[in-house]
Amino acid sequence: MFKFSSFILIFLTSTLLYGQSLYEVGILPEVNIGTKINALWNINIEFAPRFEVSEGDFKGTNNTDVFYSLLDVTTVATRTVGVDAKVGIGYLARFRDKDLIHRAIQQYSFTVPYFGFRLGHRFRTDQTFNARQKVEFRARYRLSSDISLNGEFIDPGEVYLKLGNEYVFSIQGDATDLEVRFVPTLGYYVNDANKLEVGVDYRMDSFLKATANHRFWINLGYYLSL
Amino acid sequence: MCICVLLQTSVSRAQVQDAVKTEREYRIKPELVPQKAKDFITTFEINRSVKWLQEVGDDGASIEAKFKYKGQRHSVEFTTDGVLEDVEIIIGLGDLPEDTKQEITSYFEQEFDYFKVEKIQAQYNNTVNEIINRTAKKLVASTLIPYYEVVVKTRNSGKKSKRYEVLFNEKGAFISRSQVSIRRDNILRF
Repeated sequence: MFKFSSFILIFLTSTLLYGQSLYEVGILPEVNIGTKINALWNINIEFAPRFEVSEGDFKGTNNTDVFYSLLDVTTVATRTVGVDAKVGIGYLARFRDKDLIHRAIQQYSFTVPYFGFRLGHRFRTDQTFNARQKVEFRARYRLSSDISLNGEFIDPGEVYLKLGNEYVFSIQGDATDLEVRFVPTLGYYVNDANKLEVGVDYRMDSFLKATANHRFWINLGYYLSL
Repeated sequence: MCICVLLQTSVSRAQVQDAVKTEREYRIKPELVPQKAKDFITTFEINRSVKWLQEVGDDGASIEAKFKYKGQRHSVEFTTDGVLEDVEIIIGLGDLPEDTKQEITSYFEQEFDYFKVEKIQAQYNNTVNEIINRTAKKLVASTLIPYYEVVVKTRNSGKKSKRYEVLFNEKGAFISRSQVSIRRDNILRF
């Protein structure tokens, strides 16, 4: 845990000191509804509107303006393979202004239990189709963990910690980029069907070739399993 | 002949009535732990702190001490009055005697199409009378015979995944099994 925190601190510090980095701050509420189709298939639908709050640079220039930015509606259907690995296909519809952006999703995920925490590995590829831009292809890997703060397992009525770290490599025409995400979250396990989460979804991109962009989303999540 | 064997296999799989086990544990302060239980744990001479938990299951409540001793995770269970119930030590699949490992693996292969062993505990609950009032040193040095409690995630073709706690004797012979609820992991997958 200490090593992970130190890594984030060093990573952020070194990036902030470099050049005239820009930042954005926003709010990202998410409602995720999941249900079983049959013994092997599950489906999840997530509604995630975004509200932008402010933007600026780290030298003090700041512009605060709260407004609704977009709405993502994501549907992913997964099928269990082997013991507990899951393959999935999905579709995201992004509503921004008057535009509708389409994204096709393919993923493979599995979880590994340890004493007091679980690790979740997710490999995902997606393709984004926008009428005004070239198709964007992305390859993503996310490592996440839910950590029990009270005993070996997360039980109903308990608070838990969730840490996520994702790498997103994208290609659009001739342009390539790497985005890195860190998502520390505090969750409340109401029961197996209901979970509440609050955290920070930090994203950094453009740092390989230009000045880094930093985005901080205040993340408010609700997971409902039917 | 083949059909008979297949029928027999499916009948034996179906005949097993799996009790569903529910348990919940939460941290408690050391002040709430009976002195008798604390005295037993003291004999382990642990440098790091001991986590005390109250476990509430289908069989009632118990108190559990969890700690690392000589590099291994120990879990010592007491009644709420502080009487020792069992000692469990987490081990790896490779720590099992070869014959025992083969017996256990063979049981899983026969029962399930897919399986993944998640945890093995050497459990000293069949010899409670022998370990009561003993010290940790005597316990470790003794020739107590363990049971092995294996937590395994399984799936049969066309069925959903199930997690079991399966108890084997020291030779790997099946004793009993109970189904354990699978905690949803959608927050790690979506």
